[in-house]
Amino acid sequence: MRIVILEDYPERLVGTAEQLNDICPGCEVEVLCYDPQNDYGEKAEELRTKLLCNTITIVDYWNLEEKLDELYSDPDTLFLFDTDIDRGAVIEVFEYRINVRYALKKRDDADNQLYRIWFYTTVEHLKRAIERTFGEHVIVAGQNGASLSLDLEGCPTFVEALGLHQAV
Amino acid sequence: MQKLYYYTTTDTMSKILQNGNIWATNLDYMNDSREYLNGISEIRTLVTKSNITAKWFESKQKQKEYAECPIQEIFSEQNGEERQNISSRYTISFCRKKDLLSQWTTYAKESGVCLEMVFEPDKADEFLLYKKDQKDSEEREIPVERGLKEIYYFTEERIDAQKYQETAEKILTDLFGENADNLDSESLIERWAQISIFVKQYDFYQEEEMRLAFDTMKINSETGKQPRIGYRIDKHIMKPYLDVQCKNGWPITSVMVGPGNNQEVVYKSIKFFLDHAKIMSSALVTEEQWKEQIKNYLCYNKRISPFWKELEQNKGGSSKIIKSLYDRWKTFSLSSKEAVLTDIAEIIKQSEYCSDFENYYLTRSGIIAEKSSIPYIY
Repeated sequence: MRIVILEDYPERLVGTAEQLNDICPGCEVEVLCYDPQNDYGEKAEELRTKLLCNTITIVDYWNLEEKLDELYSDPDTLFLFDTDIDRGAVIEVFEYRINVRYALKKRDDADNQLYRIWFYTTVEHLKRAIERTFGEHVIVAGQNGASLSLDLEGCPTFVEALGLHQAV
Repeated sequence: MQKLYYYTTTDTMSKILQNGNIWATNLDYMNDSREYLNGISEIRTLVTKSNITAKWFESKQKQKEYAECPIQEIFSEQNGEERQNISSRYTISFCRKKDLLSQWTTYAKESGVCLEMVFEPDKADEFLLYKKDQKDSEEREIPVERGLKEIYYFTEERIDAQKYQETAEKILTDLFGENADNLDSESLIERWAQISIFVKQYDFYQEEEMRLAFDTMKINSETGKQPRIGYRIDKHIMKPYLDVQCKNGWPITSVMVGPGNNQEVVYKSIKFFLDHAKIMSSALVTEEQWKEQIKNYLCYNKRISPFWKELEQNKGGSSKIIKSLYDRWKTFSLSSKEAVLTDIAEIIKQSEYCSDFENYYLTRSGIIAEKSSIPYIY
């Protein structure tokens, strides 16, 4: 199975792929790096090695949806979305954020399929917004120095989805 | 309790007292529009260029964490500019000084007023906002809790080294946490933007400002509701504001009339207004608050306060007049409010203390009306 992480600061994912592999051995981890400030260029490979992930793909506002659709079409893929990736844009309404919009659309389209997107954030006021909007599809995030620490096992819906997909 | 002062015009004062609301101004449209930019850039300079930051981490024994944190990338010019472009922040400013000439001239205009408010330090107060498309006549649908925060006067070029160091350490604590363990990039950018609201150019230090801040983006995230934004026109500029109601009214205890050539008549009119209008003050709701207010009013007089203290300690020897004021005060209850206030006013009127209270009057609303002692010079 594959787990896709959408993040604008990939440096803080040091240890996350390892954490995912601990609870889901052998899973493939792909990082979608949204509109990063760093022009990684040749350093992308260096970063990929540092993060211990399988793939790093740079995406932006214009191709994010297309890339996510492509990945979402594989039912054996789960998604972890960072909430605060639109920080530079003047977006006063939470639901207008590009990642939130996408997730809401997928949830509405889900019908009998399993809805496969989970959100995390370390920004206090956004925690309330994702809990209110996505309820059980929220992963508690903390910080370990400059790295992100995700309480993956504390999210029953994610653990359940992992179990289901591992069984496939 | 912490006393803070809000300088304004009598027109605005009447709205604040009758409706319990103050307009929070959008940060982009403040008198000094560079305010927020100052905060963003000063914090960036402090964190990315000053050796104070490295030393501060060292003092917290977090050198390793500091070295690993991508500080230059987080506090980049691009991130700063992105945050500057977000116009969702609104503030209400208070001054820690009463009767300050610079405030009278800037905010209150001629014979303006200074509202004294009492806040509980380090405690968030409850405020109510209108939701987008709500009408004035409707109950405000958005409750928010916010606490006052002191302004840091902080401009590297204008401040002496010791003061810079002291303020820098406070800012670093706010930014990275007491134990320097908040190093996540996303949280740091968010806090950088939030703290910048409270960093002002050093030259304004005499204002001793405290500020309440409201971020409509944050409010939307927290409550799922979008606040209503109003616009006031000032020199053709449409300035956005948030109409902020303090639950049970703002905690107003006194109204001081500023210097002006018509100060006397303004003072007279404000006494009349406070005696007759239905006003809101969350500092005058309970019996305890009223008793405290009356006691403060009487004990403001230095000829009364020592004797009052003796009476509270059950010591005799007080003057007959003060004893009768004290006895009447002790019988205060919300239902006997009118009678007690009338009696106290009558006792003062017939006493040797009458002239002391000429410019210091306890109105029927419980709010004290007073006059500035600064001479009219402009």
